[in-house]
Amino acid sequence: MTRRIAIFSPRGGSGVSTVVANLALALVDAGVETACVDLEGHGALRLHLGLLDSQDQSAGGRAPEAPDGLRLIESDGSRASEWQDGALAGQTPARVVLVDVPRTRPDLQAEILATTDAWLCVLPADAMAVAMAPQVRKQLAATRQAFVVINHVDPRFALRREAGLFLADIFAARLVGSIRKDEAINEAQANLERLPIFSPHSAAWADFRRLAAAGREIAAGLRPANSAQL
Amino acid sequence: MRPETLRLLDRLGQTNFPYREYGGEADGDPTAAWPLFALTRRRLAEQASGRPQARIVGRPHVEAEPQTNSLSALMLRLPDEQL
Repeated sequence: MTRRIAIFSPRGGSGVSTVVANLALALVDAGVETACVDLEGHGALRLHLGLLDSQDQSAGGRAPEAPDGLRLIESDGSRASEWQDGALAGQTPARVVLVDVPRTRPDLQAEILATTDAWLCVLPADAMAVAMAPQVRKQLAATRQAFVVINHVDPRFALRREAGLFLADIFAARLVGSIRKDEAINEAQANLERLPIFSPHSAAWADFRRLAAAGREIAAGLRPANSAQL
Repeated sequence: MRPETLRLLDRLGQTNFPYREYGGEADGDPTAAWPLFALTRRRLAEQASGRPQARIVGRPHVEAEPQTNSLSALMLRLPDEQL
């Protein structure tokens, strides 16, 4: 049975595409067939998944391939249900479909959130996320299958640390994980490689692997244990 | 002020150097330095109690709120539609 998880954030720059792509990679690493859906058409997931091609294929270069068990579905989002059709096509349906909910398409947001089995809200550990916490809490109250991951955690900076702890406290019942701010993500992109290939021992990849355990439980319809480390 | 800092400032002849003493985490609420946390706690408490929140876009009194760069003005610019 395929479970669809919408991954979104109340504001831009929260790292939603980063979470979608690397959670997908971590789920596949754990043996879970996963598809991820990009409806914005900017190629963000393609970059995170190391699928942008720097080789000139006419000169004999090989196009990069997704790891076994991972499928990338790209659509212009002209019809929201396209991603559902695409995710379910093929002989082996993905067990988990992660949808990168586009902030630039509020018309799609409502439909996606209404048709997915669970929500994962990405909140950066910063002042704006603290300011938005009341509205986010209200929105997440719509379903029991709404969870929170705190991104850009960085204990070196006092405000970022306190913002992370504050959000963890407010969303304690829904918190499933945290991702540390890690330049390895940026560097992996610049090298056109996937994070687990470029930097398998990075802090962020360790966090995504922990988050994948929570993702498997969400996919199973359970309430996952909190893997956040703040 | 730390003794070595005092000595250094003394050697530099900067005895009137402005200096702010920051407390450690054990001194109290580490979020106290940032008013946003207190404001958000208040809004969350209002939400939990069911009382009408003071700053929600669309309420009649909103238009009377001064459009400045204040924190309350920032809150007004966070419409529910952004969620």
